[in-house]
Amino acid sequence: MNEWVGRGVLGTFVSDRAGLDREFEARLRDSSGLAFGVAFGVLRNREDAEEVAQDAFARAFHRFHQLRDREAFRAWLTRMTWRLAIDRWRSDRRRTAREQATVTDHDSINTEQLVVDRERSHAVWQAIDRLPDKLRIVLVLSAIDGHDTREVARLLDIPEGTVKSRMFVARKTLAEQLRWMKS
Amino acid sequence: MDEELNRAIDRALDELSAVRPAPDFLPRLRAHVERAARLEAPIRWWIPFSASATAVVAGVIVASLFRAPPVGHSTRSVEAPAATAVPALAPNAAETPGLIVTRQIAVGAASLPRQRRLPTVAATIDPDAVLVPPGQLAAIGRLLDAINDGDDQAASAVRKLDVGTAIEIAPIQIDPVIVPVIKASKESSLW
Repeated sequence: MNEWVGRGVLGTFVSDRAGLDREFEARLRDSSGLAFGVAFGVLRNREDAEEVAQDAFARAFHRFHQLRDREAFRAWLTRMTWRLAIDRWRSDRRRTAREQATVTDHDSINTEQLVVDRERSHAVWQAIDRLPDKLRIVLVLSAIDGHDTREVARLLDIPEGTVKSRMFVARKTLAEQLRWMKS
Repeated sequence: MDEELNRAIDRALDELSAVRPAPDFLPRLRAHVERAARLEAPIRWWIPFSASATAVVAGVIVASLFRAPPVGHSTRSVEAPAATAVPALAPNAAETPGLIVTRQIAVGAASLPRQRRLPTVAATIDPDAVLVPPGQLAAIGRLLDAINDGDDQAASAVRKLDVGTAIEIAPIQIDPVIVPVIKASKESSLW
């Protein structure tokens, strides 16, 4: 952290800003994965997600001194990243080459099963993309870093009950849209 | 909800937690923030600079608006030679400088806007100038007009004047006004 502050431009700012930079550095280390995950949940492309996360952090740095409750940084960053990612997702026409990362054990299944899984995953994500933003972000955040209902509620600044109901409605909507999979 | 469908959804969502950014993401993220901060730094310097420049310009404009008007504008009539001001009186100018100067003040003041006229004349009045009460100004104006029109009687009256000598004007006699006595009525009352 000292290397970052002392070497970088942030560290060359006036002294009263040094503390702010150190604090931001700590937040950056802590929340970089979250910003990437949120962006990836929308864009599902690693490079795009990294760019959006970088933009979100750059924006957060500029406005960090305006943030009164520093403990709300992750929620603040989540909302900022989500908005940037959604804007990019809506305007980006190059989403054809989406990265399909899978966690399945490739050694234990055959190629045919792998193709079926990818098709299903692709269909599920298409259905998630069609969800309203309120339902979509709940699903995405719950899938990142093992966030539980309480953490998702904290990030979105909404009650836990609201998170649970939105999760239920989101899954129900997905099931209706993916009913063809059962056959 | 069908279990198989549920598993498909869970599997798709699990992809999110499985995907990690590239190993060099954090250094690149720091570099990006540094770059953004560097780009923003000149802007931050320009904001106070342009704000202070704007404030200075605004201050100059306000000061010029509220500053007193130039002294020469209203004192020009006071300090102007009498002969130049009223050419028709050139031969007698030395004898009646006060009248001519006062007339010039009245004419000059009348042509000025009211707001700027009063304080400026009061502040720059010549101590040697003869001040004429406002009630007599119109009479003196008529006298000067008569002289300019070639009225010999008026000119000779002015010539006879000695500077510093008071002019006596016969008092005007006003007959007493007779007011009829009104008898008060016992029956009527205002209240």
